[in-house]
Amino acid sequence: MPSSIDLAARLSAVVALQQDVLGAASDAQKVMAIVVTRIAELTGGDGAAVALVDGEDLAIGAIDGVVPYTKDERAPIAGSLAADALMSGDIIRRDDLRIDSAGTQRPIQIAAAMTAPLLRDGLVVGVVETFATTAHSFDDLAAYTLQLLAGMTSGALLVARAFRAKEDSEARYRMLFERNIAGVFRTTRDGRILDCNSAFANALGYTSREDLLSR
Amino acid sequence: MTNYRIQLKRKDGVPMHAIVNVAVIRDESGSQLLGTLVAENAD
Repeated sequence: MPSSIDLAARLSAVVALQQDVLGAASDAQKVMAIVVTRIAELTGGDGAAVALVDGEDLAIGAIDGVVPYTKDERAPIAGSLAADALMSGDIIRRDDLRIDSAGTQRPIQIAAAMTAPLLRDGLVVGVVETFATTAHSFDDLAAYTLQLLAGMTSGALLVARAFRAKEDSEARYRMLFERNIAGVFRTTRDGRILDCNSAFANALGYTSREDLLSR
Repeated sequence: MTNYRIQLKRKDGVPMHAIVNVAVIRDESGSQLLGTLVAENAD
């Protein structure tokens, strides 16, 4: 049974990580990279991974330490450790298993693993996983911590997705504005020109948008 | 969106009449006008 000091220390570490993640919440790749470096430490594991569902596969977004993946690998969901968590939407803990890939390009031994689902709008869109080389490495506190980290990561990835959508929308608007063959302009209500495209500048005899805006 | 006949001034100072299609766009800092040049020298 963890002491109240242990619990407070763990919670404090999760909150510190949350602050780091919030600082990077506009970039999903950065979010995954930050989270994955702390998962093993916070859950008492030896390695961790964050992966997103992509069709029938898991696209491995970030890894750290001892993991059964390589970064950017696409691993089939069927038969993977993550499959049960993806199907059930619940955290899955395996205390005594053996993944031994000695002799392959990735000689690793994993004896325990936990997988927590990442959710978006109630759908499972990925997983955070922690791995250990010793059986029974994870206790209930570790499972609770991983669940907290999964919730936090889900939220951060949601923010990153919204940010990306906004950026895409702004880029589309900017392209429509700049490449429009008709003259387009934006002004204050009293007529001061704030922005325009080249077609508008040329119609007024300026050589470029910059030429007009610097007049 | 509404069409307006307005007078613009070219870089060389010569006035130019134009028809522009204008929409009011609003954001946190207030409102601005987004216009498209529909016709130039529209006298």
